[in-house]
Amino acid sequence: MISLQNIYETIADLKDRLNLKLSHPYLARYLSSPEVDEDKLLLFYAILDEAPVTEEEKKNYTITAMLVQIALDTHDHVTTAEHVEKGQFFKRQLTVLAGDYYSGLYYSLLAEMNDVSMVRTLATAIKEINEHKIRLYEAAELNLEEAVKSMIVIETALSQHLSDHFGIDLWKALSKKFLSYKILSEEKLRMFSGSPGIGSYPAGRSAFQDMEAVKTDLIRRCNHYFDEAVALVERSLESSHTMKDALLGRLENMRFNEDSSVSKLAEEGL
Amino acid sequence: MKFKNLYTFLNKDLDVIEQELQNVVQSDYEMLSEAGLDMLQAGGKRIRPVFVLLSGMFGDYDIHKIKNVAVALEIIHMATLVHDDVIDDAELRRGRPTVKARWDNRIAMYTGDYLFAKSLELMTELKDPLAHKILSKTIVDVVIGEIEQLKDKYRFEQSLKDYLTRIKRKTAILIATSCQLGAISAGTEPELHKKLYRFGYYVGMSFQIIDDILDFTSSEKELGKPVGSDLLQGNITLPVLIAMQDSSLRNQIIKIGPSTEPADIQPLIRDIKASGAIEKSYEVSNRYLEKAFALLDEMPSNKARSTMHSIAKYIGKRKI
Repeated sequence: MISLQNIYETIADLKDRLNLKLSHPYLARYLSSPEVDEDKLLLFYAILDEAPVTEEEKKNYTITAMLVQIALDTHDHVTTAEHVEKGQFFKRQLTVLAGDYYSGLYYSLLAEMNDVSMVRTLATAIKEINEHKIRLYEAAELNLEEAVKSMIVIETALSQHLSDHFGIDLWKALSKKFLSYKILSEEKLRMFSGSPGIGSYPAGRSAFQDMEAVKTDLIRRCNHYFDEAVALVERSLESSHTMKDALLGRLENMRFNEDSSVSKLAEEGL
Repeated sequence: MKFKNLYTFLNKDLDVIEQELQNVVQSDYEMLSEAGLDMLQAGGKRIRPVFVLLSGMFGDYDIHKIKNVAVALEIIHMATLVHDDVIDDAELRRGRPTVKARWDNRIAMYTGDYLFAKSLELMTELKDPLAHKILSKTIVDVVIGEIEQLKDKYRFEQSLKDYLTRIKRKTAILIATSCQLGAISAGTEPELHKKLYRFGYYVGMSFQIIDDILDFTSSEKELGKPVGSDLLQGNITLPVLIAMQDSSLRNQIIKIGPSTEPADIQPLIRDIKASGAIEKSYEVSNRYLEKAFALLDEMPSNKARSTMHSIAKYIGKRKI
């Protein structure tokens, strides 16, 4: 298990290595640096920390999984507007290629590690994620249950397949609960602030007419996932105070941010 | 003669590939299957699978093993096309609406990513780490080539070396890799699969040069886009680079920019065609083909070798 003093140092080191991999001078000139989700970085590393691999391999696998995540996230930023000005169009072109470049890097890193089976594991997760992204984005009819299911698959498929690959059941469950709460909490914030979210992806989607009911449902789900995530972390990480404290701290933080933002929006009458 | 008539003895195995391609693009999600099947039905030369199979015939050829590599490479090519259509804002490909036109850019990104993952999943049927090192490097190089292509648009001071590096990454290395992986999956010796890589590279370079020539010499109907589209979009190809050696043509070419209209460059296209640049471009293409033929002479004599010779010859003379 990771010790307290090492957790943040390890994450900082992984982030540096990842940023080095991601750096491409021409892309950097026109696009902002890809966002690194530190929660996922921590969870991927925690999964790998239990796997029977060397310290260097742990780091390489973590970076590989993050490259996949960033590649897929990058393509979420490709704009859809028909007519855009030249500069925006150029940025769109580069965003497509940036995502492809990061995808290539993930494959390349695993090929250098001679790990063909991990290529397959991550490819299976990527397939699943994109199927659910399309479902969420394109389906004309989708009920809330299905939408939430797709959101959770998109958010957790990488950690789930990574855990399965090494048979790490504890972190499979922990990462699922943690990331499910995280995505629903973010969705709740989006919905309460009126930003585009699950209820507004496709034009003409007939579901989600009753947005108040959707909001109520999301609050219920957030409460449920928060409680479950906290209980699981407390129950399963009794012997690892550092990871327990780190995860509980993050969960409380997200919860506080969610509650205070939603209350603020309610006060402002939004 | 049609391209497909050059390798009729492969038809049975190519049917297996075609069937496998159809199986692979199927998804539980209907839209994805529809997009994949639509792209497959649009056809295409299937040049990569053909080279995989032919190269495999230099070793221990087993269609049930080699088909995974052939299909994976074609799916990678398809995934690239889906994303390229977003980059080029293309509405049509081979006369059919592109994924981005039929749905939108976001769906095209997800479809391309899905297809890419499918292809890698399939590739992992081949366990040889060397094959994955080669393919992953190729994929990264292809993307770098595309980034370079964007960077080099309307950059009229670029050199012949810039152009050749770009087309190597854009086209030649995926054909080269198809040949090498076909051979590796059939267990050939390193010396032979490296030779087949170089053969594919030379043929791929010629293929792209001819493509760039055809952008000037074909009709709008044959191309499915206006003649001279590459130049209009700022892609500086070999005929243009050669034509720019003439200072009067150079002065006209460097005035082309993103706001130039198709009609504005028609007289210039005629002048480029009359300048001898097309003939000189053919000479460069032929030099690559000569190298490809020379390599074939060093390989074991079999039906695959003679077919590869015919294909290379066809590529050098193709009209579309």
